Amino acid sequence: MAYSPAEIEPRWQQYWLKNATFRSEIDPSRPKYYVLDMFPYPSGDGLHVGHPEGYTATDILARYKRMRGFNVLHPMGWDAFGLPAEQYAIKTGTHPRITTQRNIDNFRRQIQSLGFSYDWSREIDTTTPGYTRWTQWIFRKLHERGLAYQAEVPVNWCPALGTVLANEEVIDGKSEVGSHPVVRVPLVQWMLRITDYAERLLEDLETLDWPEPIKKMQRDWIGRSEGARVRFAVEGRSSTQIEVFTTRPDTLFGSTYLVLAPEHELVDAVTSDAQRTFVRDYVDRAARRGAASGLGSRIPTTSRASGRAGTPSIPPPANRSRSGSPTTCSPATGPARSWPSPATTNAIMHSRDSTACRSEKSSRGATSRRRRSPASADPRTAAFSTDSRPVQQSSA
Amino acid sequence: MNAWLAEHGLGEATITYKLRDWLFSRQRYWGEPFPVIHLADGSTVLVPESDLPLTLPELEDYKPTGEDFEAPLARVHDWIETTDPATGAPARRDPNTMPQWAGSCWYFLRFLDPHNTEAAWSAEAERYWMPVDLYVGGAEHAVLHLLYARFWHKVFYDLGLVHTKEPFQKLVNQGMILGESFRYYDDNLSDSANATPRLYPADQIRQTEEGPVTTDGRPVKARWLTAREVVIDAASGVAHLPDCPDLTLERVVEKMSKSRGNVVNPDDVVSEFGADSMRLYEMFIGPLEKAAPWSTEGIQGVYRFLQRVWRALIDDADGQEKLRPLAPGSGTPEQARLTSQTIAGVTEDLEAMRFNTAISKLMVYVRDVAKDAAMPLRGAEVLVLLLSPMAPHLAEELWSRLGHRDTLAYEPWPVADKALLVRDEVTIVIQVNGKKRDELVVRADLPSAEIEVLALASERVQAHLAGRTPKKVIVIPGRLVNVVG
Repeated sequence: MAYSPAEIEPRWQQYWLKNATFRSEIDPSRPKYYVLDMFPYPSGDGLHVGHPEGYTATDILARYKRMRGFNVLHPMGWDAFGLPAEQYAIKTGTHPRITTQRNIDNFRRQIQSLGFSYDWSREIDTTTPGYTRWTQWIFRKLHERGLAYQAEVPVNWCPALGTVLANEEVIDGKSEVGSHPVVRVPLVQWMLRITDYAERLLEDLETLDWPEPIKKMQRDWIGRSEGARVRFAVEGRSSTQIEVFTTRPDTLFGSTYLVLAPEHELVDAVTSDAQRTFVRDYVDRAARRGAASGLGSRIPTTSRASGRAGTPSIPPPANRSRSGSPTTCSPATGPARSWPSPATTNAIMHSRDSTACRSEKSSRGATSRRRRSPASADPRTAAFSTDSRPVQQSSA
Repeated sequence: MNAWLAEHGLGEATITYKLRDWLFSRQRYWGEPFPVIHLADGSTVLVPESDLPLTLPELEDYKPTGEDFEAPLARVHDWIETTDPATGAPARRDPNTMPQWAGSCWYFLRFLDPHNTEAAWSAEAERYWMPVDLYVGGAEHAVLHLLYARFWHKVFYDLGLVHTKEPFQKLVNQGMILGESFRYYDDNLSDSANATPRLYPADQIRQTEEGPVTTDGRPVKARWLTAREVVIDAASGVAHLPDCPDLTLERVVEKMSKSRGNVVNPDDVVSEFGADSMRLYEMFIGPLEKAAPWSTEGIQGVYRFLQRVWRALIDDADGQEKLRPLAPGSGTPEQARLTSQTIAGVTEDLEAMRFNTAISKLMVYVRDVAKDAAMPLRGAEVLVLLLSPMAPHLAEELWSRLGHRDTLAYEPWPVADKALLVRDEVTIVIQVNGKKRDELVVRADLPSAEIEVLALASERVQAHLAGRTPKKVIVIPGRLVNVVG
C-alpha cells in the first residue's frame, strides 16, 4: 500500500490519547519547558488554517524538547466567554452554554485531528464554574488591594437594538448590525487600576525576549512622558484655570493658543455667546463621532504621539476675526487663544516647534504680549490635535 | 522652566502616561458575574469566598429589553435582588459581567494545576512550571491581552502568588496565512443569469469611488474565483478561466474571508492530504513570523515529500508493505557525514524556530542519502526522529516498522558526530580591492598563511594587481581573501 495518512493518522492519535503519551507531571529531576499557545475562542466557524500555524510551531518545539529530555507542559483550552455565543442566543434562544459546548467539541475534534501533543488532562474552559470561581476570587483580590473601583463611564448605547455595544461593534457612529444610530451614555462601571502598574509594566519589558515591535507597541500604549503640568488663567475669569500637560515646558512662552477637547468640562464655561451655537454644534458632532469605532470622544489621553489620522477638524479660525473667536485665555505671561477642536486630549498646549516658527520666535520675547493673528494659525493644528489612538477601555 | 513654574505657582514637573485605567464591565450576559453586592446605602460588599462561584442565572430570553441600557442580568429580579449575608439587609447584585479578557489574564496559571479545588493554583506547581518559556500567538493580541495578563501577573507577584515578575519569557507572533483568489470583471451588473456579459481583465479596469469601470468609463463588477475554479498554466503561472483561456485572471493575495471564498478549511486539507502534510506545509510556507499565502500547489509538494519518505523505507511495489533492506550501521562515510550534517542543521534550525529551513534540509537528506548506496539503518532512524516533531504520525508509523515497540516521543534526539561535521574542502573567494577576481578550492583546515600564498599566486589576482605590491592581504578563514594594493 502507498503512503496513507487517512489510515495512519487516526490510529496514532488514538494511541497517544489512550496511552496519555503527553501527560506531564511535576518532576524536579528534569528541567521543565512550558510551551503555550494563545488559547482560542471556540467560534462557530471552527478552526481556520491560521490557528494550526502557531499550534504546529509550538507542537514541534514541545516534541523536540521532550526528546531533548525536558519535562514539557503543553496544554490547550478554551477562551469561551464571548459575544458571538450571546448574539446567537439572542437570535435563536439557544443558551450560550449549549452553543459554546458544541463549538468546543468541534474545535477539540479538529485540533486532535492534527495530532498536537497536548496534555488533554489539563484542558480548561473559562466558562465552567470550576474556572469562574477563581476568576471571581482574583477579582476579590484586586478589590481588596484597591485595584478595582467603580466610576461613571460612557458606553455605546444603541436605542434601536436596545443594547450596549462594544467599540468594535460600532462603525461610523452606527451599529455594525443594522446600521442604527449609537449614542454615548454614562453608566457606572468597574475599572481596574492598571495605571498603578504603568512604570513596572514599562520597565520589565526590558527583561523579556519578545519581538521588538511588540515591545514598542506596549511602550507606546503605556505612553510615558516627562514634562510639566501647567495652569493657564482664563482672561476675565479669575476663578477658572485650564490645566495642560506639555513635554516641552521650555517652549511655553511661544504658546499662542490652547485647544480644548470637545468633552472638556470648561468648554461651555469659556465659550463666548457669539460662538455658542457653533461650538455646541461641533461638540455634538464630536460626541457622535466618538461613538464611532472607539475613536474620538472618550476618556481623554494626554498625548500627541501614536497614530493620528482621519478625524476631520473644524477649520482653524483663519477667517474669523479675533473678536469673533470663542474666548481668549491668558496664561501668566502671554496670551493664548482657545477654541474647541476635534476630539483631542483633555487639553493640549500647542507650543510650536522650533523649525516651524523660528522667525516668529525671534521676534517674540519671553514676556511678549503680542497676539498672534488667527489668520496665521498653523494649518497643522488639526492633525496635531487629532489623536486616533484606539480606546483601550471598552473593547469586546 | 519647571522650577520657574513651581516658583510662580503655575505648574510643576510631572510624569504622565497615556495608559488609562481598564474599563472592566460589560453589559452582557455571557461573562463572569461580579462577586459583589450593592447595599442600599450605596456601598459595595464582596461576596464571601465560600460563596464562590457566583453563577449566571438562567435567562428566559436573551433579547435586550430596548428600554434602558442596563445589562440583561438587571432583568433577572430574583437573581439581582438578594440580601447581605452579614446583616440580612436587602442588597442588589451587579448586573454587569467581566470582559472576555478576564479569563485569558490568568489561564496560563490554571493550566499548571487545573483540577485544584482548594486554590487557583498550587505554589508547588507555580514554582516548578513558571514562567512560560515560549508563548506563541497572533500579533492582534500584541497589546491588550499581553498587557492585561502582565498586569494581573504583577498583582499576583505582589500578593506572593507567583515567583516571577513576568509571565511570558519568550514571545513569538506567527504571521497571517493569506488566501489566494482570482479576479476578473464583467458588465453583468444585475447578475442576470441569462446575460452574456463581456469579460475584462484587471489591466483594462480603473477603480473609482463609484466602483470599477472600464477604461472607457463603463461600470463593471468584480468577479472572484478560487484556485480550484481556475486553470493555472504550469510554466507561466498565468491563471485563466477553464473555458476562456484568453482572459488573464488577476491573482489577489489577501486576508482570508468568506466573501472572497478563499478560506481554507483545515478539515478539507486533512481529509485530502493528511495532518502531517498540513503541519509540514504550514511550517514550510515561510518563516513563522511572516505572512504567507496558502497555495494548493505548495501542499501537494510537501505531500509528495512525505510519500518519498515513506518509499525510502517501505517497499510497497507489489502491494505488500515491506521494510526495505537497510545497510548496517551508518553506511558509507559519505552517508555518515550527510547524516551528521543533517542532524546538526535541523537541530540548529529547530532551536531557532526556523522550521522551513529544517524541512528543506530533511528534503535534501531524503533526496541524497540513498543516492549511491542503500539507506543505512542509522540513516533511517535519524530521518524518522528528525522528522517526528513536524510529521509525528508518519514518524511514529515508520519507527514502529523499524522494529520499535514504544512511541518515539521520548526517544533521545539524535546527536551529530562532530568529527564528521568538518567540511573537507571550502571555496574561498579572492577579491582585489574589494572586487571578486577569483576563487580557490582548498582544504578546510588550511592555515591562513598558506591561503594567502595561494591567493597571491593566482594569475587573475596578479593581472589585477598589474605589478603593484599588495599593501595588505586580509584572510577570513573558510570564506574570503581580500588583496589590497
